[in-house]
Amino acid sequence: MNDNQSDQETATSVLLSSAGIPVPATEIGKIAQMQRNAANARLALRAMRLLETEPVTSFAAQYSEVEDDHE
Amino acid sequence: MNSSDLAFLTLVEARSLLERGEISSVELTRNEIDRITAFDGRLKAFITVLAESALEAAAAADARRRQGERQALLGVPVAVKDLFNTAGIRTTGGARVLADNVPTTDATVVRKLHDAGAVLLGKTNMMEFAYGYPHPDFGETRNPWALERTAGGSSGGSAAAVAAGLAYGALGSDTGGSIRSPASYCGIVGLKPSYGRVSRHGVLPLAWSLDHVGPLTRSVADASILFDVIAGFDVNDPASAQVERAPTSSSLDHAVAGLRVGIVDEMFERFVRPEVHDVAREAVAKLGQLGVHLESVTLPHLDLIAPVINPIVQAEAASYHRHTLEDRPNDFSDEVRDNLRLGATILAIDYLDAQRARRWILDGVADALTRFDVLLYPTQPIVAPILDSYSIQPGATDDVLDVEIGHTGLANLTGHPAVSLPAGFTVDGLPVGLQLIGRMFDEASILRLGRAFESATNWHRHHPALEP
Repeated sequence: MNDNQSDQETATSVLLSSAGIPVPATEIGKIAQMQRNAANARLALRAMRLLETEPVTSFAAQYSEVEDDHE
Repeated sequence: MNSSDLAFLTLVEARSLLERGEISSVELTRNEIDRITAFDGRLKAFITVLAESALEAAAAADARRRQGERQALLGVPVAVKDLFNTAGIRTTGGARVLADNVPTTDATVVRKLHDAGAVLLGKTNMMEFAYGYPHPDFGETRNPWALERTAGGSSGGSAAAVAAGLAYGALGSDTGGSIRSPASYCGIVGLKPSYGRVSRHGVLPLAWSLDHVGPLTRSVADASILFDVIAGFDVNDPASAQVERAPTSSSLDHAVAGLRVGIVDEMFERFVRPEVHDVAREAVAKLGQLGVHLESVTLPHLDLIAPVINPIVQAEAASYHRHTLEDRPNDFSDEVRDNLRLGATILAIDYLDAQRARRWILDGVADALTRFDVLLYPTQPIVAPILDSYSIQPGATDDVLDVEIGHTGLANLTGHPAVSLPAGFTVDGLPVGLQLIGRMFDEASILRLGRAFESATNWHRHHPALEP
């Protein structure tokens, strides 16, 4: 294990511990790897830079388009 | 009519026989239970079979019909995924954690089925807590068309039961494609209604900002009937929408000529296997013969579907299961436990960014639906995977769940109604599904077009040959 991996696993362990979710030390490495993969998968989203989008106040934004010609 | 012919009637046809007094609910129900007994040992479509209470309910339905009652589903045998609460009946969510869970009340949609006179055959198998992986205590539902393949998830039990003629219809839930994906793999119809259109009260959540409830059936008309029964506002579901619409069955046979259909070309290419591509393109050509106006459409940000939906599912699921994860971690399957732990590591800013980016995707679809009545692309880019396979083909590194959610997750993020239709078969005899997406709360248009398509193709009349 290199230093970066060790740091990552420590960070993962701290996150889970702060959430009150116990994870045996032998399983932290697997979760840390999944966390790295998930973060990599989100890079495309981060690259889009959301700075100029309007903040969303509701998940259900779709309610704004309720009406159509079937009424 | 032999047992198989009886079992593969559509719900509409079975109901007509009941209405004409040519068959009883007891006969229909006994035939289904006999088939479940014969076939489900291999399929694993059911977690709980309610043989005794179903026959009692069927006898009661026959008596009520003799007294002149005529509810929409009176005496029709159906099944529900094992995440819908059923009063006095075990509801496991496909999980060891809830192995002994017996709710005291029905989910709203289960109550609506009962009110409509349906006979509940049983509770269908599913991925553990609808989260992409089966728990070993229950095993994975096999595909009736190819037993070495999955029925899909997470509503695989509902899909397999309907495809195999073990129920005339079933309910499922859909957070990233869990109705439409197994419907596609099993060659049946699966409808994910608009977000808020069908109550989730009494339904175990996976991710509440994405969860939907809907029917799986052998025909579009059957889906229309079940949808009309379960749709409607429910004060007990905080996301329930107060929207009034005419029953979809009232416009099901209206003309489709002139409907504007947008073909999402990118989704015919993204991860799409050649055998699926060919079947889907043939289906589009068939639609063109129905007089609809077909035109290509480009939707923005389709590459972001998986990166946006995954952190939302992961974080919301981890929140829901947080305390069980603390108290009983070893009662989860390894895969679900790992994914829930992963969800607990999602940072708030990543969850919120995903919800903000969701708006981009919604705006793109909503804009397209100002120019088109319906959007269209293959439900899934692949056929039903071999059991326990995690990549889309041997040697590939693409994760099956990411590929699947990248196709079906779009309508979960936007909330638009979407239906998967049987669109044909590959040369290997595996079903392929075609997905239609409609405007908010306009389930009627996608069902109407679906009905016209299935009438022209009859793919929904193909059934798997099962051996006990």
